[in-house]
Amino acid sequence: MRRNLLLLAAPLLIAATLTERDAAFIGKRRSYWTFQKPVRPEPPKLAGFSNPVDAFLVEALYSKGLSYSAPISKEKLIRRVTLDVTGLPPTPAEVEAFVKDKSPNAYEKLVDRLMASKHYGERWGLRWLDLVRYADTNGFELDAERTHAWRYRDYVINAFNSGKTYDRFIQEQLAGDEMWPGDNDALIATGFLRAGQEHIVGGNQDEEMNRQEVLTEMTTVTGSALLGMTIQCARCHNHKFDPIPQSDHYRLQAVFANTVGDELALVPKQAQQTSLDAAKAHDKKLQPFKAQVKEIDEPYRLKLVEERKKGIDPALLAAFDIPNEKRTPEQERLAKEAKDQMTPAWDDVVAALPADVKAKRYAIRKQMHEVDLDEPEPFAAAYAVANAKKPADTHILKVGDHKSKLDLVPAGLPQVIVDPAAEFPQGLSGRRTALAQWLTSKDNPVTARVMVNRIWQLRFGTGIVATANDFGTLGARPTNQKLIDWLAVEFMDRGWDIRSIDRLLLLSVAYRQSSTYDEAKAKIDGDNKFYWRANKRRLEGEAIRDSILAVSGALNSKMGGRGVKIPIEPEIYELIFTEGETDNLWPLPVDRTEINRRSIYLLNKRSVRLPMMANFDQPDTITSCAMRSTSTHALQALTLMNSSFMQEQSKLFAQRLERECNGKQACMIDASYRLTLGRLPSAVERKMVIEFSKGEQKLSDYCLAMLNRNEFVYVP
Amino acid sequence: MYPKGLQRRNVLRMAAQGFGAVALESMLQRELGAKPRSNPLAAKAPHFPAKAKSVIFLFMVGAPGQMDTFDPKPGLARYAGKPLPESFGKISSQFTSGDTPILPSPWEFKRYGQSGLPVSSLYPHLSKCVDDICFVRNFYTESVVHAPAMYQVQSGRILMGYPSMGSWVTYGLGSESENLPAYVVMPQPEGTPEGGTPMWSSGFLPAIHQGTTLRGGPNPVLNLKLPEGMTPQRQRRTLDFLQKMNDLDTEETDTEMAARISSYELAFRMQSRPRRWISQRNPMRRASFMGWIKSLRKSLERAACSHGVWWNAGCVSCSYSLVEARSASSGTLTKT
Repeated sequence: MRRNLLLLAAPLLIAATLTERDAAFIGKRRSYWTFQKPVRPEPPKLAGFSNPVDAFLVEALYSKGLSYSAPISKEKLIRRVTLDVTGLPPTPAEVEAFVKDKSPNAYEKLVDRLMASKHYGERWGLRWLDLVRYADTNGFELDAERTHAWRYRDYVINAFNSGKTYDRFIQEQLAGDEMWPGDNDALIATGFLRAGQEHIVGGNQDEEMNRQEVLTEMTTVTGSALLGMTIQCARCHNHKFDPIPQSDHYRLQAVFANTVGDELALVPKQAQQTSLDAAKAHDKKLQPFKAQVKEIDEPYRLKLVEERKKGIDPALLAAFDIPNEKRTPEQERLAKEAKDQMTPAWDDVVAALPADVKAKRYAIRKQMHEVDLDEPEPFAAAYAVANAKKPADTHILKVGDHKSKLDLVPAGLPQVIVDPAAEFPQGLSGRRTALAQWLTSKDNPVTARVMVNRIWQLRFGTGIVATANDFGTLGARPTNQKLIDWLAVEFMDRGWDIRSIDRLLLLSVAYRQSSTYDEAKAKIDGDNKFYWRANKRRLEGEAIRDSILAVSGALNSKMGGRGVKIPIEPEIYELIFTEGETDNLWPLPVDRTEINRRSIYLLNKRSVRLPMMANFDQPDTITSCAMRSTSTHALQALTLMNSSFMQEQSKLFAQRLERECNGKQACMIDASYRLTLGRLPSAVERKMVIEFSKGEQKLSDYCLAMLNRNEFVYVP
Repeated sequence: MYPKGLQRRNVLRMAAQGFGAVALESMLQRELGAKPRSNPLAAKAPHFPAKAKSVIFLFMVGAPGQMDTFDPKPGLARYAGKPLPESFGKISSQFTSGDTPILPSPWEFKRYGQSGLPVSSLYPHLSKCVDDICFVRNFYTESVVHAPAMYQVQSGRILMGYPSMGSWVTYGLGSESENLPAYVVMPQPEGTPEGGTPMWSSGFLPAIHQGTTLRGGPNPVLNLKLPEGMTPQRQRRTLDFLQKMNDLDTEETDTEMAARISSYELAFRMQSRPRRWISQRNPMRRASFMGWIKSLRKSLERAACSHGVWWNAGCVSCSYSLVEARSASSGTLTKT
């Protein structure tokens, strides 16, 4: 008992000496703007700008001799806002209705309609999943699928759709299990802490190293996604630029010291048993095929064993021939070695089969895979976290190496913001709750700013702080601090209501400007830091694919569920790593309309990136991605011109035009423009299309070109 | 923005009469000293004077270990047949218990050349040219598991998600080539090594710096082949049509859109003459491994010279990092 007490007291004693050193390290940098609580500035009173967002922006613009650009046309506006809010282009009927609606609140109604759509959460979901580097697999070589991870993806989408407030959203993700025990949604939310890569592979593992990496992942994502701070830079040493001592990294890590990953059943015992029985019954159906394959292999396998035995050291073989129970430990070791050496791998056996036997073998396996398509769903479980039964210590690690332990540290919060003497729970449970409550307290200087900046970035293309995951000294300074502070305070005062701030931005005059270039203004502010025009933005790979499916008419807008596998090129299939048989690594869904689901529902496998996504800058799901880069290269063109997906979609698009226009050219030209670009062609364009359609060109060639247009893949 | 006569519209008009015009545009721009803002891969001056013209990096999974090739470990002979001395500590190993007896190298080492560097009897021919080789013997790994060790060789970390060498090189130096991918990866014919694509990922660098996989067979780059039933003429017409339409709705000043238009021309050129730049890459079918390397070098020279840019600048052009997967950890760097 006494010893335990001492153990508990030790970290606190050490902490006292540590904090002095840390306080000196932090020094005056405590006064950096990021760490000051935002105070609501008074919006400037400017005639004609009732939205405070505009008032702040215009004030800054005027001071630079700049002003807003003209409003964008209604046709382009509905295209912009629909792509922005839903990730899909508006339908021709929606465009027509909006253009015809002359009521003063037509735009407001449009925004409200779009925000009420289920696609709103899908659009936001993609952003949030980028931040938490969500994927459906573990990563590293085996990269196994996380059967239940998708529930977290669906949780995120639903959170945005249902208007979950940001404070609750954070609390559930960090500590849903502690704060709302028994609430399935809150449990699933903790998948946030497990969204990163994890090295799961067989053989002897350095468990301590693997655990340290898991904890680092939790710490890092909390820093980047929620705090907008590069806490991870302090893993090996004091932060080189920010007032984050190395101990802060480990104090934050200690918040998760008792947090362990778990698959927690979401259904009662009875249902679990039913599901297990069904799985067993299914397995039985596969047995006959497995037996047949084994029967085919057996003679060839035995022959290989005999051949191999000839090459094995006689001493090993002698040990192998001794019956199991009579072997000494040393003989046991030798026997095992002999067995390893004589056992052929599956591919050695397959290589030994004559061609006709091999064909027969694979025909049987094919039948088996077909039966396997009916595999019953496993019972519902949450890919979540729980608190361990035993507490774990946290040490500062010299250069981040788990083998070089330095001082013990208690769980705690960044010292630059919170006095290290302040109480923080050190028990098994409650650490994460305390972190979540601190993050979502109105006194926290960073959380609200970081989130309003993300909302801003989603709508305007760049953040008020351009480095959305780094509000530190190497990050960008806000282009308009009054604006971000006002938004942050307003956000908290509106009860952390994401949708309400989002709506405010979408309704601003700033959002409705045209994106046209202006040489005089560009001379003053070439990077458009002050938003004198809208930023044209390339759609993400996901939105490009979804838009194409929408235009061709193939889009299946079903929501949720397990990650969907879509057809992949043989070259991509080859990238799937396995030590087993290679013939059924990517089974496609039985219901083929599934392959036309929205991209957010596609299986996101860390080691096998889909070219359509990866080529268009989909993040690699390894580190938190605050803002996608926009690169332009030839592989994108090859994908959008030659891939079988594009070939198929352009044909479907052509068929749709033929069908809807009874093959009449003028109608097809108009319809194709309305569907892809939300407008009618100009006289020049119409002439070009007619010119192009002469000769051997096919309608699908034209459709392919339309789907490749700059205007189609950019938000106007 | 652009010098007169080099406006994008004019260039596109030229492009309609034949490909290559867009490449000409950027080359001319460079000659005229204009900044080709639209090309993030434009060649950049190195920080140090360059000594090499190109680098071929062979990463050879499953090659013999260093103690059998170039890095003799006489200490092993002292402990032959015995377990590792306790003072050494416990070694970790993925698939053995780590207490098996020590096996010294069965190969004999001798010193060769002026440098007097040791080479084992495994390499009777290589020993004749040791003075042309620089041996790096301080590679180590922090993981005994294949994939993390592979990530460490390529990116310096045992984790996925850090930029690979080739990505850093294209990031730092750009590429001198106008019509080839800047960073090319050639996996072995048997397939991808355990580490998979993160081995040549760009990590947190922009995606344009990721390695482009070159494969064997008629489709070396994904989607390079014309779709079935498509003729080059038909595709050229479709492309011309697309480019004219793009030109219509793109502002003169929009470099991003201009880059997008150029990228289609590059894609078309790549697929029009893939043979020019794709080397014979299956070493199994070649008489010798070194013969294969020679052919690789030749094809690099040819690919570059045919467009007259590769050797011109005389700076480091390691924008080709050719990864042939063979050895996980021997860490032998071959100067070519």
